[in-house]
Amino acid sequence: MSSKSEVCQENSIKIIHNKKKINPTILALQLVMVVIGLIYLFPFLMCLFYAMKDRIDIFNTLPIQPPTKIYWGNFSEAIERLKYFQVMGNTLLITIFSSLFTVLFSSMIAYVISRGQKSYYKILYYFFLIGLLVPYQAIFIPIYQLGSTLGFVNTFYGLIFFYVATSLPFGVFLMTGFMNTMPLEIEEAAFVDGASTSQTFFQIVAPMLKPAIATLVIMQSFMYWNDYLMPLLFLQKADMRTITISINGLFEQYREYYHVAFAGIILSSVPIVAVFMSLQKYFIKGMSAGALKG
Amino acid sequence: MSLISKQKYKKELTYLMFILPGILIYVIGMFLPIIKGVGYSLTDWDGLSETSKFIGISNYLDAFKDSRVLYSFWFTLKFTFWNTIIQNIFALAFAIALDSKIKGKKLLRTIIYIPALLSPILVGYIWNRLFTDVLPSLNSILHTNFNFSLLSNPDTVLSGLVIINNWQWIGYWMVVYLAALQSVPIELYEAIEIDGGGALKKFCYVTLPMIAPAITICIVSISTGSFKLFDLVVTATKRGGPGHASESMILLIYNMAFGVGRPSYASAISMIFLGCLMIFAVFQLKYFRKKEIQL
Repeated sequence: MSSKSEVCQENSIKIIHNKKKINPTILALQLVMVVIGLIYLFPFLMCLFYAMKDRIDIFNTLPIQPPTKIYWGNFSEAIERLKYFQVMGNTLLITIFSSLFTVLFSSMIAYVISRGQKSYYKILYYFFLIGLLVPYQAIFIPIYQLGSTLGFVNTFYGLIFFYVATSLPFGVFLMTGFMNTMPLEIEEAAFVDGASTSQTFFQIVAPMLKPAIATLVIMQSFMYWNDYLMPLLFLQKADMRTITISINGLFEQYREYYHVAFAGIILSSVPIVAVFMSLQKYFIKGMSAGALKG
Repeated sequence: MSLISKQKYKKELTYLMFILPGILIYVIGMFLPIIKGVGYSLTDWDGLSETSKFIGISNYLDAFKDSRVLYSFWFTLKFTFWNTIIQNIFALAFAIALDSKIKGKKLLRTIIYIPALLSPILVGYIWNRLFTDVLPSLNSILHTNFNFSLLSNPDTVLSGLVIINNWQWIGYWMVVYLAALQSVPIELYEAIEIDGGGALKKFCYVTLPMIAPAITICIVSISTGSFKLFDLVVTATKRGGPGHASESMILLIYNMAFGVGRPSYASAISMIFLGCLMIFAVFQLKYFRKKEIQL
């Protein structure tokens, strides 16, 4: 008994000792990372400084200095100039529908490739895989040409159509990989119970695809939201603009008054950062899974 | 028809209904443009006239002699090279640092990751102002004379863009490396510890081989991604400035197609661009996969 308690005491002393001892490498690392964190924050701080200065502050302070008083006028001007709510609505609509159809069609195709016994379904897989090597940026001239022949210019569905088409290779690749790891037993049981193929897919398989769907949606929706080239080609009307196009328009209009443009930058990125912060766990998981599998 | 064969027939029919919309969209929206792109590149089509003449590979021959194309190609290649190296090293270093025992890891990870959420259009504009206004004003406070205007000089515009692009994307790849680091079994580190190995041995004999697949993925994704440089130079250097000093391949293709009005020539450059992209994706995958197996 006594020897046991001695050991315990010794251990607890060790623990206390360890806690008090500060590892110099960890301390140095801590310092370096905090400095790096501050360097990373610096551009954001400058955005705030720019956006909150009024006309007097602009001329009286250096760009690096904080505003003497906080001024919100740039924000209201940016909302008006950007057509903020309409433009955000447009971008949201495009992002949601493009993600939705990409998920729907790629999971349906992946299901057939993964479960179909015929050899031509495997050929189908390689047919889609070819597209994985071709970014849409390499074929945007014929895409635009084809789009204008089909009457897709200045329509949301035209833009969504090409987003879905160019996202399908990655979607099919990701979904097929995921579905190949899923057990067949549940589907077989559903089949024995008399469920049809489409019932099996939509009611049994689709709910099990959640992790893969999350990964696909997270990766693709960011691409759609932040994309510049495709909307530049297809959405030429002012009230159909997406946020990247509208912001870039603001930059070009306000060559002298950066402050409104910076208010626009903050207004357009705050919602994204907020979404990220609230779903951070899923984002990190989805993004790293997508990158490591893709 | 027997029950089983009827069921099978129904199943195949459902399969067909499942794949048909996707195939149709893919063929029209992607496969057809690829073929049309190859077709355009072999003609002298000007984008407006109804007819065009087949001129074989002379667009390609012109492109290889065009100094603007060669400059743009070389510029994009250099940008890709530096990005791939710097981004991989820093992403891995940050991941290791933020996987250690330091405090405030979560907050630091978030801060470093946030730039990856923003559009390169915004990032380019923010840094354009930083380089032209904010950092030079630091000079007048500190009474120094550093040259911060990297983006307005043709000789330094590349380094300016590399800094911006790394600020934006290191965090993204750091998260990928973090996921890879956290999947390394602790037992392996303990084994090295028992053998009396230090941190360096742990890194070389456990960490590196275990995260080799992640390194491959990061190198391939960063290099193919950097080669597609476009949005950033639209705002950071005001469409490839100064002059054509930062005109990336895609910007060049865009300018040739819509600015100069030579879509067939631009298509030929697109195909060269696509060829390069494929060559180094395939090459890298083959080369690094081989290394992984050896490790």
